[in-house]
Amino acid sequence: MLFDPITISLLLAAAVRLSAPMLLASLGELVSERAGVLNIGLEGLMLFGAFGAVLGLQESNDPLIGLLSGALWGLGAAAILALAVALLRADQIVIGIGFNILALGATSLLRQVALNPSYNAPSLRAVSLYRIPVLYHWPIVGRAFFMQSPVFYGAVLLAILLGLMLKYTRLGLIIRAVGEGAGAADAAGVSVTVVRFGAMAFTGLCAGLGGGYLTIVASGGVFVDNMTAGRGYLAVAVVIFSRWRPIWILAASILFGCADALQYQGQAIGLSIPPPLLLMSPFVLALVAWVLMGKGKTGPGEIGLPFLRGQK
Amino acid sequence: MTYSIDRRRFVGMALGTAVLSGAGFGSARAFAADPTEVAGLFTGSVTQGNWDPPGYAAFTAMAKKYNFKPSYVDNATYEAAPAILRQMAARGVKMIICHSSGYSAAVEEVAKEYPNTQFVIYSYASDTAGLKNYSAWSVNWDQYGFVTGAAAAVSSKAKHIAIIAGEEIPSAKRAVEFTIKGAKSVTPDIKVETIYTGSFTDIAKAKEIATGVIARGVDVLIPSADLADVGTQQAAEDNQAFTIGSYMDQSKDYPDAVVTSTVLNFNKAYDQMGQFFTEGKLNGTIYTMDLSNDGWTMATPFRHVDASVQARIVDLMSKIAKNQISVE
Repeated sequence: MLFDPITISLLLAAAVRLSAPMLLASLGELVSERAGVLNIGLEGLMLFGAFGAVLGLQESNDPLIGLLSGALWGLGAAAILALAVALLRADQIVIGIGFNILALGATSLLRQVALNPSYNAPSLRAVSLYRIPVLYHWPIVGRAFFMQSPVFYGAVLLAILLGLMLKYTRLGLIIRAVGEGAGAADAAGVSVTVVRFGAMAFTGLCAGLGGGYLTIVASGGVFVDNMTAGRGYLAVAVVIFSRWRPIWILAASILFGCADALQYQGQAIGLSIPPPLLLMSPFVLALVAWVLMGKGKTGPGEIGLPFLRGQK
Repeated sequence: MTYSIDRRRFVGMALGTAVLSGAGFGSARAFAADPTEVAGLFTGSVTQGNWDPPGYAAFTAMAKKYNFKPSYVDNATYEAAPAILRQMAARGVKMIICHSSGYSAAVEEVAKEYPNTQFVIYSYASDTAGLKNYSAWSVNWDQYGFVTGAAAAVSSKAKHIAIIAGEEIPSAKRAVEFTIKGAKSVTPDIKVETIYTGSFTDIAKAKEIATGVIARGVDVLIPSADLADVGTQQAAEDNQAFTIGSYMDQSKDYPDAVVTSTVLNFNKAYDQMGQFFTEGKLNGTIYTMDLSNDGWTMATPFRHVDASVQARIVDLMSKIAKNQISVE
């Protein structure tokens, strides 16, 4: 039997583990998009976060400081990106793509300059695994949902808090107002620039933490060039796929994680599907998200548009 | 001193050089006292992984020994290679060594235009298009895969091994084919799982895959995904499984996992390139690097396994080297 309970349990556990960096980055991206900024530079932000986390780990020998460092590197990089997009009102898509290319070269250069190639990371168990008592024994789902990194649990909590914040708080209302109609928000006295800058900074923080998860939790404290391998782009697709709703982002991230995990679990259990087809599956999902679901009514009205006062 | 440059900086400099040349400020001048310039082309970073760094080390050692002026371009993609090779040859580099078989099409294209520059491929080549200035040091990858598979199979108590490969490219598929052949030659009822991660850099994915196959009973893994191999090695160390290292002795990096490693004799190949070039003997020949001429070997002593495992593999390699066993 191809899909016995053990295989399904392993598949789900792998899917959840692989979804964590995407989940963090997507939650960050959600806030940017809700504020009207299509942050294509997410891949680059994750890459800076991944590098920053290993640098922090190397300097402190503490995985928590490493993760914090990754988040701060993401924040710093996002500030540069926000300077161009929110303050100087440059084209969001062009700047985002350029930023990703820059991040690839910059992190490669920084790695050569700042990281010790023979560095051996200390035990990372404190951030890589926490078993929730009793629940982790549950068949099939126990291993998947209750034997994960504390960072993943934190991301789930963040999704819930973001949902509440966007729906019920004044800050959430302001962010949504700027994304729906920047001109109207501006007329009401809201600083569109400040809101968008802040939203992008938050995105950087989350994406940086996602990159940090990738290096510290998922890769044992090792950074290699281009190791995000397209996860930032997938995270953008996750936001669209989930109709800009935080809880749906949680589900969509795990769905994308499933597609990712199926790539190789499928090969391992002998699914008679050619490996290249399985390897394409997350990207096929992303295309579906962009093409079929990108134009929904629930999306922010002015997403991707720079705010220029006096212009309709 | 070695001058380093990556692809992005290279493109900028190439453009700058082209502008200056066009304006008449620059010219290809050679001074009698200048040492001969040789260049290397690498697919990845020369400071990461287990393929390019040892190749680069052999390249610089060769340059030092024969008093060449070395330069290199790392992260050089195959599609950018023709432009890079032309620029190097045009500025007077006398020998360009490409550290991957993927550059063969670019070399074939450019070597015709620059007969005074020697082009060399390290890794694999089946022919050199009849060009006198295109030579190759070709590893016998069939033999390599066969012995790697045999070593993994003999080391596996569970009779269940896995190959964690990167992208499903022709050379990888062929290596997998011979690895399976080698494993089955020593343990006919062995179960071999082959999984392509689709990436040579995604450590997290390789680690996840390796963890999954270990949970299903695999006890020896063959990492074959370049930079992503780190993930496979980490998973093996975390879950008390074993691995066969690749290209260089990796037992120091992963002491709890590595049983043995394939070790390519980069130094010998690069030294021969320097020697033959100095003596004017590079003439379009393909030199095979195999077990019979120390082109590659397995690191000893084997770890975590009985002494009989090492003895069987050493015996197998000896028989292959003497043509008493054919891997075909």
